[in-house]
Amino acid sequence: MKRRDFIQLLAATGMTASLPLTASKAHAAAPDHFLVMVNAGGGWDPTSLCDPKGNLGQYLSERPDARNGGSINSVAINTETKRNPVSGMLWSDTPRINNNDATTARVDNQYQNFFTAYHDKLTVINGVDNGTNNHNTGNRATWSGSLEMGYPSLAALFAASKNPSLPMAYISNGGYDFTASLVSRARASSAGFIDRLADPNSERYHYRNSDQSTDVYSQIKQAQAERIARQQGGEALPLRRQQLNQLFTVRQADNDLAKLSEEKTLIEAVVPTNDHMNNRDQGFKRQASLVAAAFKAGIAASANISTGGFDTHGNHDNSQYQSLGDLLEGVAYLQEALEAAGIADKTTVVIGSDFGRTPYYNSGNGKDHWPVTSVMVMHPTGSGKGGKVFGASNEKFRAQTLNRSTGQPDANGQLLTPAHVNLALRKELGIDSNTIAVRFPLLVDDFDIFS
Amino acid sequence: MNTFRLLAIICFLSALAGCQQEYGGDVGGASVPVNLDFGNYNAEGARLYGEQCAGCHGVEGTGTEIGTPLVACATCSSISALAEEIAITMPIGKNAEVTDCDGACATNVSEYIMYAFNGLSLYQATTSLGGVSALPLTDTLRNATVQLAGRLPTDAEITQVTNEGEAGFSTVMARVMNEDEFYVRLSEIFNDVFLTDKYLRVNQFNGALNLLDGDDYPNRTWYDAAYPSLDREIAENIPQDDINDDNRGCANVYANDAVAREGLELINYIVRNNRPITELVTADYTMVNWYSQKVYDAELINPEDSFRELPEGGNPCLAYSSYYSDATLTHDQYDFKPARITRSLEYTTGVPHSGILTSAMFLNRFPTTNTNRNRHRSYMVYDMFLDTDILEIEGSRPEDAIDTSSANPTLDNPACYTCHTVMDPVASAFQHWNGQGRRIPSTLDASSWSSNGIESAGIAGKKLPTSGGTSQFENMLQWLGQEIAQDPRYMRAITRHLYKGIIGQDLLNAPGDNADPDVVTAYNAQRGILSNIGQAMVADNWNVKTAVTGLLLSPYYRANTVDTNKVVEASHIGSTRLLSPEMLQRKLTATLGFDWYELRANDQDNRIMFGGIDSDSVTDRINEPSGLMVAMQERMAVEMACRATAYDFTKTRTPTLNERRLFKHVSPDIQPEDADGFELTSNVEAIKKNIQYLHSTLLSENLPLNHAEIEATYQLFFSTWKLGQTMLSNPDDYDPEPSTYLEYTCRARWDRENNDQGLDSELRIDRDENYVIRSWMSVITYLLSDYRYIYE
Repeated sequence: MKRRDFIQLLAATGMTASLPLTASKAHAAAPDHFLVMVNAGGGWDPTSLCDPKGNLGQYLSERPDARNGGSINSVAINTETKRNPVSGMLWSDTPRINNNDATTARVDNQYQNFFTAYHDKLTVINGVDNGTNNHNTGNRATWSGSLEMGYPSLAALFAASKNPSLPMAYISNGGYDFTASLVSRARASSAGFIDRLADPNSERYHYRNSDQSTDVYSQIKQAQAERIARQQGGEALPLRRQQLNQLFTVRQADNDLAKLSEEKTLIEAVVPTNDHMNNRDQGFKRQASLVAAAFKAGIAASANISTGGFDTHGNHDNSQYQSLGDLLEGVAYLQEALEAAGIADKTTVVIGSDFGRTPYYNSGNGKDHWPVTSVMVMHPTGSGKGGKVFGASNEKFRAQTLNRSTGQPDANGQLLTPAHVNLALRKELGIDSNTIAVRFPLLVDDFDIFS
Repeated sequence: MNTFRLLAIICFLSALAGCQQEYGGDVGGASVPVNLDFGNYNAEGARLYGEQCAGCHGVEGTGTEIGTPLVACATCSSISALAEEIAITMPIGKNAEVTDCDGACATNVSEYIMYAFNGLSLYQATTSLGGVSALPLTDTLRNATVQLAGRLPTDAEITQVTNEGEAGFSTVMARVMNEDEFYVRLSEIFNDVFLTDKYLRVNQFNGALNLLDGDDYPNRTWYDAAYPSLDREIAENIPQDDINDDNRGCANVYANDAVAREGLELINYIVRNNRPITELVTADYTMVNWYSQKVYDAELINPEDSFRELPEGGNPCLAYSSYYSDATLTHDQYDFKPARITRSLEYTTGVPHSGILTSAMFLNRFPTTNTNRNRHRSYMVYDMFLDTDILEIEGSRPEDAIDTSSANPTLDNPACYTCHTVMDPVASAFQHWNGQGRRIPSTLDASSWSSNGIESAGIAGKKLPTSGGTSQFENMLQWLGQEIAQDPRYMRAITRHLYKGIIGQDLLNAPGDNADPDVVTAYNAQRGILSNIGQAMVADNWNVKTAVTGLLLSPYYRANTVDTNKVVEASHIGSTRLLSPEMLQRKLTATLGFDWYELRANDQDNRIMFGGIDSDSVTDRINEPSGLMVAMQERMAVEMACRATAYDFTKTRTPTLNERRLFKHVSPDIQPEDADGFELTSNVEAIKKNIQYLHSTLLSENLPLNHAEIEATYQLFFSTWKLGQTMLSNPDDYDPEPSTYLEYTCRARWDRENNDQGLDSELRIDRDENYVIRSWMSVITYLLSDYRYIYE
């Protein structure tokens, strides 16, 4: 067994206490694969994005009070310019937003750029039945595959599988990030401060000579490590023993935090966050740049990037399309940052949301919660995967049974749920059968989403 | 509280903690019936339970996703009380296959529940904690005062606890819980629930004031008019202009933050004045300080009251920012008083206060929409005040969650109704409050509320009276608040919040029917003990302090060791947790006298990186450290040791007066060896004695002088000192050259406990000729990064 695997196993079983102090540190080699979960918080509308239905008055009779004549969308499907002729991938046309030409054009440009630039590495999964229209439950279902509490997010599972002892193994600045204690979450917002953390004694408050052959701080660290080993051995309370094990494991890992801001600087020199496309959502782009830098620096394996503005109970068109446009621009920035870091070929990006929105407009021109949704997966560059739509909702934006191989409607098929999507993702990421994942089984049949 | 009641409660809590530093399992006490009537096995009750109740409450009464546990349930105080509750409320839902369970059914089922789930099993469960040994009470006191009051216990307090045991502990804690710092912690505990600090200035500019409607509260920005910006062209106005600028800015901050904090200040007021915590949902008043009273034009309940002012020359604004040095405001921003909003608002006259339920902060933090129809608010009410997670009911949802064929699925479709029949009546009770928390009676604005398609206001099967002399239509939330306060689940909700705050963990989830018996035992024990603590609180007029003391004396807080032969499922026992940024700051202040500037309240990014929350997008605290957090801890240890070590040596240490926090037993000239390399025995003893003191005061670790840990820490001191001697003897051999001067930041030139003001020159310490100070710096760094320091 490789040392890294050995440490992972120990971490998972809470047995790191038995690691001898004299052993060299857990070598935090850069993971060979990275994962980003991009969460559109609040419940996005797939029919305004990757599963458009057009303005056909589909709910005219069922919902006579609905605005827009009971249509699912306020714009027609545009098969001329909003459809890839090879894959048939379809994306929404842009309604007039805020009665403003510039805003409408901007959003249209964001959509066009995304679906043309990234079509070839994109798998769109439509017609997913989340089985809930509650925010918390929907988030949990989308990102863990389970409606019930207790399942870690896919990104937590991934980080735990790759190397839980990395200093920022799982970066999360929000969204569903339950870890089931498999790995610690790191909230990272200030790269400048992180840089200063790389060496706690960088100011030389404790003497250290230039070649580091004399280093008072290293004596302190050594004493600290010996102390924690003694504490582990002598601790009688299971709770404290577990905490000591966690602390010991994290301290054992290499701290390559210094590389983070170095890499971030390099990335932003190529793709500045404040000079990219329409300069929208700086918060998202700063998160994206930091995540790409942390991956490149080898100190993180996975990340949550979360953004909001999708819970459009009122004035849906004016808000939802802008939020979606900014989301696509943000993900485009993330891709460019990953390219600049040279790791786009090792990174999978999954984009999803709590659930979908109603296929009709309410009295406030808004759309309420609806359990049917979509997920978009961006494969690593060069993986040969993408340019594909799997699954389908019906013409009234309801879930339907699908053939597990083709994803096409099939009366003898099954409903596609987050459990199926997560199972397929686990397999795609190569973490479905490891000792950690099997503790959180997704007991459903396979859909060949990525084959 | 009368003396008898106090003694009775202390007696109960003592029993809970165990007299032999081991949990005895005695759940008796004055506030809890000593001889609970657990009844006898009732065969008919068992049959009915299996038929009508087990589906939701579990075969073993431990609850399921859709039903609360019945072990130590809030109404399980007697067979008759439980039977009454069952008769009124059970079974929930409109399932035609189940008839109401009242009369003999209720009595039989009640007897079965008491016997099967609250007699034998509870007794077994609580006695099973006999394998848990408790920390000495003096250590518990130290942990409690650091956690709850941000200070170490005084010698007198330690003596009182040593002499009087649990009774002394309760007396000391009663005093501690009157200190201001306790209310800082209490606000943190309840903000983790209500998250209203989202609206503080540190998180949002005018986050709270902007939520108030300008038509309702035309004076919400009163400070603009009171302290206008003057014309700077007029020379003689310039000083006044500076004054106005600072007053305006400061009053703006304090008015905003007081409005943001009105819910948390309500809790503080209730607890500080030993009022029942039921007022959290029933109070017919809100809380204002001098700054927010003007926002609301609120009337103080006691018109004779006046707000506290700082002594002559005091400037309250400096507490927020040193930029406000020209401010002339005098009122204490921390002085809150109960008041009512009685003025004419656009749609109504005054606010019918009902505790936090009618606070615009609460209503905005948990907003609604025309289509959500207050259901989110209802969900939060159930979760926060009734210990019920409505979402758990979703577990039984059918595969197709979409129903577009029923006219009103939430009323007509049984799959929807099960949940909505619980949720919607409470949602309806919020109908007079719009999405922005503004009071607009539903009868005045048809667009804001329609009674169609949703159940009328009520709770737990009880309908709100809407006609006749008893009509509560105008005061729905006041009625709801009273109902919540009388609901048995309220006690459990409050004790749950306190448990999370004091112990640092969520309560155990209800085990499934096939759960491991040890898991069931652990769950039952926790539930039983929490129930007793809750009942002690209720018996003491719902005094939160009683519940806090109960939690501090419980095995969950005091556990020191666990005999896993006796307590098999023990991973939840103990209260040690990773310190939050706020808790770390308090501990640093308690032990060193000042905190770490990197984690001060205005540096929200760093606090979040350290696992904190912003009450907005980040609401979940991290309790398992990442490498990033460990790096922050290590940085903290180095920086704080640098700032604290030489500084502490500037404080007076004489045989009659010792003001040192860290180095009570040594001076900077106490070296372990003489110039010829011979050990100076008395010096070494003094050094070790000081190390022993540091282990006690910083780590709450009381060790004998000859303990291996004392020796290990001494060796770190000694090796640093030895290395220092070598370097200072041969400075040319090193690059950079070692100096007898301390690193500039580590010198004692600033009064760390007084905003880093310059120290008098005769007090300053710049040099460390013999490397003793730097050796102590090593020791302090080592101890501040220790598990026992960064966890508590």
